[in-house]
This record gives sequence, C-alpha cells and structure tokens, in this order.
Amino acid sequence: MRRYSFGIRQRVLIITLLPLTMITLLLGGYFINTRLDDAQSALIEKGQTMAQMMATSAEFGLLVGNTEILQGLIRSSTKTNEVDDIVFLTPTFETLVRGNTEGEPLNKNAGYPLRKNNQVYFLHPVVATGVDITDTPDFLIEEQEPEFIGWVVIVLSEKPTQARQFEILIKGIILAFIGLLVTVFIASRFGQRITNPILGLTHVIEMLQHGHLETRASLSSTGELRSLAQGINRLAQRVQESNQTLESRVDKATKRLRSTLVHLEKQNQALDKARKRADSANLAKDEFLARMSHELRTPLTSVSGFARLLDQTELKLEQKEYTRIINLTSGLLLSIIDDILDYSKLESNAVILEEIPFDFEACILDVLEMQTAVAHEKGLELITNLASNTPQYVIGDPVRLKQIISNLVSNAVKFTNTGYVCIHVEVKSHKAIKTELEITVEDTGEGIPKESINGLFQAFSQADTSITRRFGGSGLGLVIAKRLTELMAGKITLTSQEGQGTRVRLNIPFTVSPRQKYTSSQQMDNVVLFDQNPLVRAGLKQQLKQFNAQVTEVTSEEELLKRQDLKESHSIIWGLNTKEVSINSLNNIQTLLTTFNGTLILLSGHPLPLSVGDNVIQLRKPARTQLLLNALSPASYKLPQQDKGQCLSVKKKSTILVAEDNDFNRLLVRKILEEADVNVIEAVTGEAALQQTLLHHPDLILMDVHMPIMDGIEATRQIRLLDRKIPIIALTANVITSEHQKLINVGVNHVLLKPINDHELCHTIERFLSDHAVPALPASQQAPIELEKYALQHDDLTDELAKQLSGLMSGFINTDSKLMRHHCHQLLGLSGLYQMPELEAASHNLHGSLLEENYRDIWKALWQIKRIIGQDPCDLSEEP
Amino acid sequence: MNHRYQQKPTLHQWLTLLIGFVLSCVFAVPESRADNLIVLSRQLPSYQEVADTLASKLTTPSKILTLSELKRQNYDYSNYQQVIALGASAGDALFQTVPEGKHLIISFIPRQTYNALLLKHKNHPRVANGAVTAIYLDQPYSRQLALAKLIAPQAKSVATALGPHSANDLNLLRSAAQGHNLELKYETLQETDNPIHKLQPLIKSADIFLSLPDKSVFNRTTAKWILYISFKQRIPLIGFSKKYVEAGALAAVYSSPSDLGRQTAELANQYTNTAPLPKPTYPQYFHVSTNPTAAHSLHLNIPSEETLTKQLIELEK
Repeated sequence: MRRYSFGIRQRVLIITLLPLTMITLLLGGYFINTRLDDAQSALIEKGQTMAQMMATSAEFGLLVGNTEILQGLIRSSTKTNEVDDIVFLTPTFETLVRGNTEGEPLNKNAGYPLRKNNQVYFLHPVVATGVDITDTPDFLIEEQEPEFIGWVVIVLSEKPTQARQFEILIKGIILAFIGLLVTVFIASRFGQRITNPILGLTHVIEMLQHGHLETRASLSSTGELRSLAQGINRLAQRVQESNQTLESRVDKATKRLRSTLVHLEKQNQALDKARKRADSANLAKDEFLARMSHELRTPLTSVSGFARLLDQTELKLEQKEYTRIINLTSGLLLSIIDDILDYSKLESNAVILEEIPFDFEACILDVLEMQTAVAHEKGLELITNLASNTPQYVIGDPVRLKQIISNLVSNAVKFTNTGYVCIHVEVKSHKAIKTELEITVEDTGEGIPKESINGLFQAFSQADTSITRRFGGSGLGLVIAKRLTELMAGKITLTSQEGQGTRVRLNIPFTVSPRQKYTSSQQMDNVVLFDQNPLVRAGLKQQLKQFNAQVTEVTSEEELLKRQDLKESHSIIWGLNTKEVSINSLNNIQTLLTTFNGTLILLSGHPLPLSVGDNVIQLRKPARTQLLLNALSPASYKLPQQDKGQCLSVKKKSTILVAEDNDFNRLLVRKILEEADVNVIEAVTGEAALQQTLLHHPDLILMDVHMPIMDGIEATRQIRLLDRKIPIIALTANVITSEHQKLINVGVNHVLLKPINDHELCHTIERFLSDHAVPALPASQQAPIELEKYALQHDDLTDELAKQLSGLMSGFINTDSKLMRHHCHQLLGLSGLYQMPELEAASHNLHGSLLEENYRDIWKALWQIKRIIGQDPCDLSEEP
Repeated sequence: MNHRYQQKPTLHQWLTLLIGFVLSCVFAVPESRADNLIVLSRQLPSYQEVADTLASKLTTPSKILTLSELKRQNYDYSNYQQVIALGASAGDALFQTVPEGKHLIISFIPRQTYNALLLKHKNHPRVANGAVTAIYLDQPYSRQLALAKLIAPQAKSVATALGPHSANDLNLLRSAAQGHNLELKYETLQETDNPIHKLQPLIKSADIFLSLPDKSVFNRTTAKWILYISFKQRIPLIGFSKKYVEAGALAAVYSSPSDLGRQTAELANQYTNTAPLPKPTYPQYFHVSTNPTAAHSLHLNIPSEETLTKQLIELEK
C-alpha cells in the first residue's frame, strides 16, 4: 500500500476544508431538510387554517343553506392556484356545494389530512357559534352545545409546494455550493496565510542549505511564524557572520601564508645569495689560505735554508745543535701553517691522518726542544719520562701527534712560571702490534679553575680572557689537540688543581712498527747522576737504562763532591739549573774537575762560560738519548742520517712518461728517474703526452698540471678514455684541495706537490710500480733536493733562469702577455722547485700584474726579477 | 325525657309551641340575628350582589344561604320571619318548603318563569294567602318600546319574534306598541324552525327590532345572527340585557342586581309580617345601556345612557 505524502499546503487545506465542508454539508442538508419539512408543514398548516377559516366563513352559508354564499366563498378561495377544490358538505356528509364538480368522491372516514394524487385533503367541521347575551341564567336561555352544521373539505394541490420544495432544494444546493466555494476560498486564503510563510521559510532554509547565506525570510507574517522567521533570520545572520569571519580568517591566514611564503622565498633567495657569498667567501678563504701558506712558507724556507747553509759551515757541536733546532722550528712552523689549513679541514672532517712509522721518542723530544728556549728562559725544567717498554717506532701521524703534544707543552710552558713541565709516557695496554700509549703532560703551573675546564676544548676559548692578553695565542691549541686526538681514536682528559698544576692525559692507540730501535750492545761504565730535580733524575735514569749503564744517583752537589770512588771509567751527568747556574755550582764543578778525569756531562739550559777540558761535554736540557750516548761513549758517535741510497727500487726497464713543460724541471725529474734505471719518455705539452702514451704505452705517467695547449687535467681525461689502468701521478704547485679533487676525478692516481721532493717522488713511483708492498714514507723531513746529486749544475739552473727572463723580456717588448704568462709560470715553478723565495715572490708579483694587465706593475716586477736573476743564482737559492 | 311525649304532640302542645315561637319572635326579635333568610339559587356573583345589597338595605337582620346549603339544613326556616329567594331555582324550591305562614318573596326571576311557577303551584295555599310575591327580572314591554322610541323617534314599526313561551304576551306587546304608536310586526317561531330563515325577512320589514328573552327564539347563535342581520339591514336592535348591548345590540334597558336588591329590600321592609303581600312587580329601578359603536355603524345619534335613563324615568312618572 502506497502512502501519499502531502505538502503542508494540502494538509492545511484538508484540515480546514474537511470540517468546514462537513459542517457546510450538514448545515445545508439540515436547513434544506428543515425548509422542505417547513414547506410541507406549511402546506398542512395552510390547509388546516384554510379549512378552519372556510368553516368559519361558511357558518352562515351552511346555517341558512345559502349556496350562493358558499359558491362565492369557493370562488374567492380557488383563485389561488394552490387550492384545487373546496367542498361543503352537510352534517351527513352529503355534498352541498363543490368547486370542482369532477372531483373524486369523498369519504368521511378516510383520515384527514389525506394525500392523494398530488393533492392534500383537509376536512373541518362547521359549527355554529354564538354570543353571550344574558346577564343572568334566569332568562332561561339555555347554554347550548355548539351546533354542528356541516363539513368543509379543502383540497390543496401539492404542486406549488413541490415546486417550492424543488426551488428550496435548488437554492439550498446553490447556497451550499456557494458556501462551499466561499469555504474553499476562505480556507485556501487562510491556509495560504499559514502555509505561505512556512513554505517561504522552507524555501529560505533550502536556500541557506545551498549556501545562499544572504537569503532572509520576509517578516510579513505574524505571531509564532514571525518569531520563527526572525529566529531563522538571526540564525542565518549568525551563520553568515561566522562564515564571513571564517572566510576573513582564512583570507587573513592565506595572506599571512602568502606573505610568509614570499618572505620565505625572499629568505631563500637571501640564503641562496648568502650561500653563494659563503661559497665564494669559502673559495676566497681557500685562495687566501693558499696564498697565506705560500707567503708564510717563502720566508720560512729562507730561514730554514740559511740555517742549513749555516749548518754546512764549520760549526761547533753546540752551533750545529742550534741550526738543527732552527730547522726543526721552522719545519714545525711550516706544519703549523698547514695546520691552520687543517683546522678548517678538521672543522669539515676533511683531515686524513697519515699512517707512517716514526720515532716516538724523537717526536716527543722534537716538541720539547721547540719549547726549550722559552722554558729555560723561565727557569723551567723540561722533562721526559718515557717508560722503558715504550716502542721506539710506532705507525701513526707524527706531524699531528707533534701538533697535539706541542700544543699541550707550549700551553704548559706558557702557564708555568716555576717548576717543570714533564712528559710521561706509559704503555697502557699492549696487544700484539697494537699499543695504547698514555702521554701525560704535567706542569706545576697556576692551574685551571674547575668551571673553566670544559670551555677549554671549545674553539677560541681560554680559561680567562685575560690569559689571551697575558700570553697571546689563538686559543685553538687545545681544540685542535682534542679533535686530532679523537681523530686518532684517542681520548684527552684534563685535570687541574688551582695553584698546583695541570695534567693533560692523552690515551692514543698506535700500531707498533715492525722496525724497532737498535739494542745497544755497548756496556757502559758506571754513571753518576746528579740533578736537584728528582723527576729529571728519574727521566735520565730511564734514558740511561737503554745503555745498560750502572747509574748511581746523587741528590746533592756536596754528596757528589764527597764521593771518593770516582774513577776515570766513571761518567758524571750533572744537571744544572736551566736559567742561571749559581757560582757555587760552578765552583763545585771546578772542584770536581780537579780530581775527576772521567767524562763530565753538564746538562743546562744554556752553555756555561767555562774553559774546561775535553772531558767536559755540555748538553742542553732535555738531552736526547742519542746525544747522551754520544757524550758518554764518543767511540760510538754517529750522527743520525737519512737513508740516502734508498730511491727507487722499481722493476728494471720500466717506462715512465714525464709530461712537463718546464725544461729544467723535466731534466731534473729525468735525472732522478734515470738514477733508478728507468726508461724516461718526455712530453712538453698535454697533447704530446697523449701521443707519447699512444706510442709507447708507458708504465707510469708523471703529469704536470700546468702545460700549454693542453693542460694536465685535460690530457689525463683523454688518456683515461684510452687506458684506464696506467698510473698517473700529477705534479702541481697548487695546495688547494679542490684542484687535487679535480685531478682525482679525471683519473689521476696520486697528486704530488711541488717543489719536487726526490724521496717522495721515488717512494710514490715505487708504490705504483713495485711488486712488493711499500711501507709508508717516514715523516718527511722536507729535505731540499740536491741538484748535484743528479748531475745538474747550478749553471744549468742559471741558464734556465736567464732563458726564462729573456722570454719574459721579449714578451714585454712585444706586449705579448700570453708569452709573459708562460715564462712567468715557468719561473714560478723553478723558484718553487729550487726554493728561491725571493724569485718566487717576484714571480708571484709579476703573475698578479699580468692578470691585472697593469704594465706599470708588470714592468716593476719584471725589473725585480731581472735584478734577482742577474745575481748569482747560488745566492738566490737556499741550496748552495 | 319522655319518649312518648315527644312522639305524639297534641294540638295543645302544638299551640303551646306556636305561641312560644310567636312570643319568642315578638320578644326575642332583638336577640334574633336572622329575621330574614336570603336564599341564592346558586353561588353566582349576580346573586351575591343582589343578596349583599338586599341584606344591607333590610332593616332586620338577615342570613344569606345558597340553595344547596339550605338543603343541607333540611330547609329549616324556624328562625326566620320571612324568606327571600333569589332566582328561579330558589323560588321553585322554597315555594314548596317554606311554611305557608311565612312570606316568600321571590326576586330576580323572569316574569314568564314566575308565571310558570304560579301555574305549577296554583293550588298552593300560599298563592291564595298572598304569602308570595315576586320582583321580575325583565323590563315591561312599554319601557323597552319607550326606549326604542327614544332612540329612533321616527320608527313606525317594531318587529319581534315570539316563541312558544312568549306567545302569550302578544297582547301585552300589541298594547304596548300601540301605546307608543308603533306597528307591531311579529313572527311566532316553533322549536323546529330555523329562526334565521324566518327572522331575516321580518327584520327587513320593520324599523326597529325588539329582542325578547325567549329561549326558543334566542339562543347564542340566533342572537349572533340576528345582530348580523340587523346590522346588515341597518335596523336598530333593542336588546334585553347589558350583555346583549356589549355583544352588539344598540341599546337595552335593564335592572342591575343592586337595583333589584334595593327594590326587594324595600318590599321586604314594607311587608314584614303583614299579609298579604302585594302583586308581583316589574323592576322599579333600571338603567339604560347603549353601544356607541353600533350606533355609529347605524349612523344614529343617540343620547347618552344617563340621559336615556332619565328620560325613561321621566316618561314613567
């Protein structure tokens, strides 16, 4: 069964119409019915009334039997169409007078009013009535019963009544219909008055639902609907407002977001710019550092060069020692300069540690020796105390280790005014070839406040800002030390007590080198050891342990003087104060020498102004073990020397292509290689190198980076297209790692820095061509190359320089900057290679001027070069 | 008390009683409160009015009873000097019951009824003794005709209908008419006659119609239709009662109950214990009643009731 759903309009119409229609129909029906009945009863009543009236009217006529009167009555009454017939009858019901003579016969007992043939018959008796005429009953006029004198019958037609009834019916129906219409009209009007606002509200709600929030209900209705409309309007307004608020918020947020994005974009751009700036700054920094290192190196090389020159002159042992220290210091300085570079490398974790065997004790003493001048100036004792089981050679990075220890020792010396600085070395653990050494740098300085200890390992931080003022320094020392230690998988800890001193402990694992110290078979005589400082004594005792010497410790000068058992075979090691030696001590020494003929080794900070015999040897504190040995046993004296005959041990008849545009350099390399009985092919340009490679298929290629026509990088790239296996070693004067990386990227196997170091070169070549594994090169001593060794005369160099100069001059005359750049480059290479700092600096100037094309500066630099080269090249070069 | 004595009273005893009664009546009159007994035929206002007037006018005390009350007292008249009957019924009943010696005055009775009563009791000693008299209710014909003449002086003839009861009065009527110079036209009606049929031409023929209180002629219906016919014929109708005037008759002469009571009282006062009583008389006091509406309908100008009454009284003097 289907249910029909009606709308509110229909429902209201039904609700209103149904009762109204029912009432209308009911009332209409009732009234029509009543009126019909009324018409009927009116007919009856009329008939009865007429009969009664007629009876009264006919009284006289019937009484006197006057038919005329009765006929008159009939005539007057039957004029109306309603009255069909009037009959007057005698008391015995005999018709006396009749209007319609053809009427039906009448029956007295038919029961009136009688309906028959659309006619109604009314019967009424006619009675004679009288008037009261007597004052008293005594007149004997009887009180009569009313006299019955006849009958009257009225016959009324029902037709008019029926017509009236029909009319009533029609009118009633019409009225009911009109009423119904009016009802429908009113109901629909009233219904609309209710439903229209509701439908309007429904429409408004629908519109609101569809998002037309500006829609409002009209307030034309009244009562609850008005309140409802107002409520809906308020609701819609609230929704609209909140919507607008939301929209505006979203709008605001969007704007904010957009502006943020724009801002971010700007920042990104700024960041991009900043990054580019930083990149370029970094590049500039690299350039700067490279130049700085170069600039610093130049005077340093001259310092070390002159020191070496001095060393080659006739010198006392003492003086030799000084020159050596100068060399060491300048070397260290050089490595420090490199460390500045390294610091940035450290910062970007770009430091790669070397793994080479080195002399551990020498490394420690090298560091100490660098500090001796400062320490002795302060009167400090610099003490080493190496455990006897310390391996002499370990594998690691000596430069970095020196850097660490040097930092620590220089700090210790810096902050210690009295007392000593001591380096203890102990073996913490020893497993097969692995050993962990604990290096402790101890001082008796002022100490560091506890709260400052943590800050010490942060860059550019010192315990006290006043320290910087007092002692100077970059504050990088401990940071670099810490980073390097950690890089060596080691640990650095610092403990300090204010006013008592500081201990920095390094725990660093090392691989023990298979090559170990010699064991001296020499049997020493008795050694009497004296120093006021027991730590110095302990250190020396440890050193002397190696020589199997019988050491007797003496704690005071007096005790030493009192000893009667001193023989010639005895040696005395007498430690003196590092700063000043008291007169008393000098006297005591003099006293001792009067009786003692054996070897007396005086350990002091400075050489004593003594005119003593040959048996007295003065050594600087701290004394190296080798020097002690030499002093104690002059027979076994030998200077520590390099393994000079090493050079190449490559496969015989190997072919090496040397691509180098500078003739002199090419000649030098050729000479070095020919020493090793290697077949050398030469190429002047990159292109030629490529051709030679194709022709001869060399076993190895030495490739200069800067060459005319085709540089080393391009040549390497092209060679790599043909042959991927052939080892290529690049030679460059550029220390910038980015260029090195570029070289590695195009296929270079190794990069060697100019100036050419023959040992390093040989070693590297050996690594690539040797059948057996080549141990890492020991700490490079940066020994300058000896030209003579390779049958190259200084004249050759002079000629070469003159040739380059003339090339420059002709370029200048012809204003051929390209030619000038070529020769300038050659000069740079030569001056670098043969360590002519003055010439190198001038060449640099020329190079810069050429880039700027400033002819005035070019001329200045050219003139300077000409002046330098005009001198004896030997005067220029560091090497004699 | 002796029973036998009571049962058989001797003449002597009767006489003694009578003397005693008479004596008591003579001497004890002042003490007796009811010398006159007034008996009403029925308890009707008209009778009561007559009785009241009568009692007030009587010089001796009187007692008023209805006939039925008297009947319950076994017609005991012993305490009364004279008895007055009001109405025909009372007259008839008292005629027989009132002791012969006592006066009986019958008032408020139609002449013909009294005559019939006398005829009925024609052998009664009272009649011979003259111990009975009456005051009629109805007016003498001459008075009525006089009224007719006063109202319609130009009238030449007078019509009337006579029934079986009134047929005897024809002579009286004729003489009265002659006395007033009027031609008497009449119709004698039988019981079976339709009075309307007969009266219609009679009324038409005369100048004045005089209605007479005869039950065979006048009943309520006839009276109505005579009124109807007389109006239709424009003939003045002289009635016999005030009611008839009110019903539509032009005029009537009548005696009111107080008139009759007054006249009866005068008679009773005059003839107390004096025999014999005078002959029956017509009412001495009377009034005239007119219907101005009817007069207007008939286009007649008639004097006022008081004028007519005075004129009639004047005429009778």
